Amino acid sequence: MDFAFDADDVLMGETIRQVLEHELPTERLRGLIDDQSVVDTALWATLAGAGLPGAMIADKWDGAGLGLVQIATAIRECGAALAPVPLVETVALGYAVQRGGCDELKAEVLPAAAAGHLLGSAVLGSGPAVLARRDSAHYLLSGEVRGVPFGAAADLLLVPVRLTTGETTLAVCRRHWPGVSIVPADHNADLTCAMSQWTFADVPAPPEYVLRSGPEGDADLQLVVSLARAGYALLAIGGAKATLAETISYIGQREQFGRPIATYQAVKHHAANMRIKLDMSEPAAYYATWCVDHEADAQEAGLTAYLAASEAYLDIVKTGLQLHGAIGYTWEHQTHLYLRRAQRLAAVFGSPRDGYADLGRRARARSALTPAQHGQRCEGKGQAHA
Amino acid sequence: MDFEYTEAQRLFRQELRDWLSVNHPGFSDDRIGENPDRGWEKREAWDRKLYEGGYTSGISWPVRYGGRGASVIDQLIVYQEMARAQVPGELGRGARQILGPTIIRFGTEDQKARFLPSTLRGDIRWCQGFSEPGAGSDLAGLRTAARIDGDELVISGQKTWTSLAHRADWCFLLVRTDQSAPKHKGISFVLVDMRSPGISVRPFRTCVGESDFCDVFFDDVRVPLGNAVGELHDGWNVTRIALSHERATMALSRYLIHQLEVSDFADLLAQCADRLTPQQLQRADEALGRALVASEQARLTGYWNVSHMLRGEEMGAKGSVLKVHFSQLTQQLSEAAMDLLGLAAMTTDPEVGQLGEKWFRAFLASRASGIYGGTVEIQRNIIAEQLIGLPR
Repeated sequence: MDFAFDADDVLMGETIRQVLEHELPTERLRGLIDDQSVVDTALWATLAGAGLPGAMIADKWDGAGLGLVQIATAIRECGAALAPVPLVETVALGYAVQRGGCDELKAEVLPAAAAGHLLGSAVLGSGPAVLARRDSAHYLLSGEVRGVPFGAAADLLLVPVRLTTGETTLAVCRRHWPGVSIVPADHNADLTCAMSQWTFADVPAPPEYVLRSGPEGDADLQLVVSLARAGYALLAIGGAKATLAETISYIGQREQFGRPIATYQAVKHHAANMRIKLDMSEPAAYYATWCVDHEADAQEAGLTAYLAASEAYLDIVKTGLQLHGAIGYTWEHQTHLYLRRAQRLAAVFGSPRDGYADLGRRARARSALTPAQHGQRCEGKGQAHA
Repeated sequence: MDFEYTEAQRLFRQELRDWLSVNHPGFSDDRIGENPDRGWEKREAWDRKLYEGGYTSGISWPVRYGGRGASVIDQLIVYQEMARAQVPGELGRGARQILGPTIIRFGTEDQKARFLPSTLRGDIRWCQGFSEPGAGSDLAGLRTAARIDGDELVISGQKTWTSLAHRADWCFLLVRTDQSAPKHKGISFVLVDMRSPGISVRPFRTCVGESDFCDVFFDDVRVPLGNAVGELHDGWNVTRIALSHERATMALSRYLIHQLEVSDFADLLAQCADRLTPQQLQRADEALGRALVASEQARLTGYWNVSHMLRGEEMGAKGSVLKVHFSQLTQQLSEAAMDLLGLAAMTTDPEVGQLGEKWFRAFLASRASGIYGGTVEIQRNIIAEQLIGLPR
């Protein structure tokens, strides 16, 4: 067992951190927000140059054939910098197409995605809001999808659809199809991720854009959702780390009553709590990436990582804001940008409380089935890797 | 990044699993509200069996001292398999995890020969004399004094919160040997025979109602100078250094106890589900989900820390992070059980039987988790100052 990043993975994170420091300084991020830009296209081009959108796409389709583990540090850094780019969404979309699409669709989507020519988006946090009816040559899509991240700029949207058979599967939708209307949201709480509503009015979709269904499709859907959860957990970890680092620096400088506020125990304990929350959720996020790559325990690991990291992020930012005092409550200070992001990430998959209850319900069901055996459950999990 | 075990580790696990299935003692720890003093003879016999099998915490000791020179991962496998088989814990674990490595690192050849094999076999039962009535969070402020008289130390003072002192043959304790030095520099680490004249032991009851903790009084107890481990007056350092690696192992295995507690809660919930309103059930499921996530976080952070330690990084104060987390997990879980059981935790209820009382004891006992081994406030100070680097 060696639960740590390899030197290459660490280097990947360091490289992307430097890229972001250079290309997305605070003033630029503020400018993008003021201009209501949806995506930082220049940054996206740089990230594409570094191979990120295509990292998990196979060589055959011009990608790098890497795992989620290998880009985990890069995603984390994008979260730390609040980079307004649909990295997690585009990676999830490519991954879904690679698993459940036919070669024709792969050829249309994957090389373009790997080259950074396509902006992907994905809404995976709720049940299917779109109905896909088969007619002779097409699927007809109808329904509306709210809260599409970077939706006004996205070329493609990955979303679960309900088939007339009652099954749910994933579909990829193109923005320029007739009958697709995209309305940017008036209210966008997360200033670094503008959302839109995509409405489908009997949109004829080529059949290959609806990914495979049946047992394989169910497994694909689960893995794609787990990948998205792991990805959002990584964004959360990045944001939490950035917030903690900035807060530590601030409380060391800010003086009241003639000494740095970091010398007060009340302040120290807040800082310690931030560190505890971070240290206790960061490994869970990394583990989830490994589980996705190995298709082992991915569903529970993804949910665990997402719940732990999104809650930690929110708590860390709230405490960080408190430790900044009034300055943290100003528009100019960046803390509220993180608070906005943290609250959105915590809402992406529905109420975290329902997520916990869902996990609990499943454990209770197992417990009711085999009361004497469940002590072995988690060990069994260890054995999956043994 | 890799979660695979090596072939040797897999074989070791299988061997141990087979051994446990043959040698299972037929009883388990009563996890919630556990009291090691109950069933002492049974537990001693089990501890000896573990020694005979070669599966004590001493497996990480070097071979020449009776261990197997096993890695932290092998140690983890032992704890995992013991938890899986639901066998009782090892009686001498504290001594083997804390004292053994201290003697191995700092002891004389004579001390090693005299104490290591007997500690491993369980021939010597140890108690730990650290806390004092006036030295809790401020452990280095301890006042139990050892005066040097020729080739002897003469110890006077009082230790408290000493687990199972009334069962112990020997005690490893911290005493002040230099009154004039700064408080961290005048402490020595000393081994004392509990049959020495001048020692008296008085068990006292915790709020749970049990008396497995004791006050230990030292009244001019004479101990050979040769019983000091490490340099005289260097006991604080000895303890700190010897414990740094052991903390990793302890932090690594503790999640297993929590997993079992969480399973107990899942059992309780499964059993009570029928009599709960949908709102109560939702709340209890949520609490169970939180506990599952929290214990999984502990497992993974433990793996993460140990993997980095094996790569040569310092553990530093990372054990303190897990300590606070564990305390919160334990307390929240038993509080969720109180919420679930309601009055059934407070008085006899035929529908839940013994479970009500057991969980109430767990609820009381969980209050200790924020206090022992350094309060959560002290842990937060350590995290702030040593891990984050905030000014004192």
